[in-house]
Amino acid sequence: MMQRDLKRIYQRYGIRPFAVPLVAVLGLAVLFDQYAADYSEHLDEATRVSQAQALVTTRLERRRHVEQLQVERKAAFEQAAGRVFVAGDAPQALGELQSRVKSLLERLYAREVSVVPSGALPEQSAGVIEVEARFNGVPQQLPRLQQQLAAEDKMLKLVGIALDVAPEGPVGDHLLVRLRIAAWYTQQDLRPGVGARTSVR
Amino acid sequence: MRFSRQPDFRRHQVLAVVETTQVALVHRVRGWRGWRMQATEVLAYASPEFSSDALYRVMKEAVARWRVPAGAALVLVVPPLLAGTVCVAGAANAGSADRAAADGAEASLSLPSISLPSLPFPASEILQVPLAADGDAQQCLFWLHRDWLHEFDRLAGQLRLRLAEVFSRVQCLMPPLVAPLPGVKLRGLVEGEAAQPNFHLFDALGRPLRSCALPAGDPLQQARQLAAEWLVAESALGEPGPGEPAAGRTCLQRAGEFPDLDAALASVAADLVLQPVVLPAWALRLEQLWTSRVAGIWLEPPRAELLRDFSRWTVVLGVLGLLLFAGMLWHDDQLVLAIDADEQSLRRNKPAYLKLQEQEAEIIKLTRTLDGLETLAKAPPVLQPLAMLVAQLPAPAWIEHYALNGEVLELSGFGMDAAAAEAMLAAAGVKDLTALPALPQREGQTLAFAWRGRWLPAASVATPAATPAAAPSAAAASSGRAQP
Repeated sequence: MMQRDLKRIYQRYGIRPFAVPLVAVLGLAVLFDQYAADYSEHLDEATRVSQAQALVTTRLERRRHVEQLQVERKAAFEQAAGRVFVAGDAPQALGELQSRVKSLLERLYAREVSVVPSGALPEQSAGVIEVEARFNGVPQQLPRLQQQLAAEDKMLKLVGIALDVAPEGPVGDHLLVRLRIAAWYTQQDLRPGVGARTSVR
Repeated sequence: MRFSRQPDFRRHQVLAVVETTQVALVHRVRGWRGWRMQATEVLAYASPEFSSDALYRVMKEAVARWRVPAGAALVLVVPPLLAGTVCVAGAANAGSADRAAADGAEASLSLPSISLPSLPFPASEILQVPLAADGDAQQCLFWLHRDWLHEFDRLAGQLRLRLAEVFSRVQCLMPPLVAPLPGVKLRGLVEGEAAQPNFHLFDALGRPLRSCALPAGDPLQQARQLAAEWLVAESALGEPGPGEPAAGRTCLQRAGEFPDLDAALASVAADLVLQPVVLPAWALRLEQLWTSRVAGIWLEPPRAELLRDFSRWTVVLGVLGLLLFAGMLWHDDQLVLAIDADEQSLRRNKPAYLKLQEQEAEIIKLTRTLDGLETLAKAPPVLQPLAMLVAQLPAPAWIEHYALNGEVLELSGFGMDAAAAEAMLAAAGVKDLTALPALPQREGQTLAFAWRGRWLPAASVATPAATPAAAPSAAAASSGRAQP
């Protein structure tokens, strides 16, 4: 019925009775369209800024706890700092480890000593560095080697070993020894009080 | 602001199909779920000429029984006997004719620019509406004499109803109510009462070409007129085009039983046979007609209250839209203020936040170093299993090769068969033992072994063995003890 009434109104009066609502709707649509983009942008911006503000507030509330934790970790690190290789970068630390291991083996009168890097360098500012040492020796050098490693100020850890009886000479007198020795490297600026970027306090 | 409530009479309709001896009535009522058919009834009456009084006498009882409120709409479908159809070529201004029809009784009728020689009355005395207002070159019009319209209006007044619309009977047989036959270019349809059937002609698209009432009473006369009408229509259709099949181009149908007409048609034109066809029920067709876009002739002026509601709803819509817009602007201001406040706060807290980030980063680095050192310190001593194995090595066996990398332990030597070496390694806690493919070779040595396995420090702890510090000396002792 309504449809027929509308049709008759259109037949009688044409578009005029429908024009006013149509113009009103279109006008409102244009008006909304004009400001909808800005409004939507402000809505997004307000949400983003509000979330950022909430995150900052929440994290700042934990500031005291973080400071306390930092003091504890620094104190623990100060105690252990002497046992790690602190260097500008990992290759430098690896060089130090190489020379230290070579010197140690030479002090044990090991023959034909060679020390080469082993394993991948740490990609981060701290990690394990490792060298492989080869030498000819006698069985009695092994316990002394272990004692020397334990006596080092840096932590040098024997993580792999391969012993082969030398094919020449009397059996048991000469061993071909391959060792994997690992240590811990820490970038220099991490150590409190050392380096240019240590003023994080 | 008050809006007119839908009055009760707007929720009732009476649809009537007027025939020679009967009138079919449908009562429709609108409820919460839309319009529904409330009642249908077919009432017989005998009137040699249609008169509003005769119709009133048979309809008043039904209208009263159905409690149709005063002012409800009355829709009539009239037979070709009362209202005519005429087809004119090139009726380009069908729209103006339509509008003229829509203007109602008091409006002046503007006929199409072409003359209508088929009309038996002056144009000023009739109302007309296009049957298929699609702007075709051939335009079929439904026309009704004003006297009949006033007669129907009087009938509605007697019944205390208002005449809403008058349809031609052929309009109930057009698409979409009755679909055209595919491939059929000319369709004839006989329907209505047996005493005075109606004959309609449709084109390929189902548009009416002609609609007329066959002569009352005499079947022979009816058959002759039908045959003549059909012959004229077939002639107008022309010969089949090249490649076009002649069969199936035309179709002559009857909706209902017309035995006398069938017999008379057989005697007049033997090649004309009426094919039976079943049409939807009248009530259903009426409802579909009323809800379709098919337009009839109508008198009632447009509803004033609808126009008023239109204006009021426009005002309400405008006010609501403006309020909504104002609300949006206000909220936008609030958002800008909130963004400024948050950004100021962020700027104020930025130094403290950056410092906190640095502290957290330093804690992470320090923690990683401390944890790494601890992990390194806990690495298992690699000489411990050697000491254990040397301690269990039976004389005169000796070790040629020993390696431990991670959990993988390799041991090979001489003076002991492989099975005994396997048992010794298993007893020392070495798991998953597999024999190495190559045995050690040394001149004069026949018994040799070479195994690889997995050494787990936890397993070896439970085994009584020499201390790690003693292992190298034990290995040395073992290596030097046996001679090849």
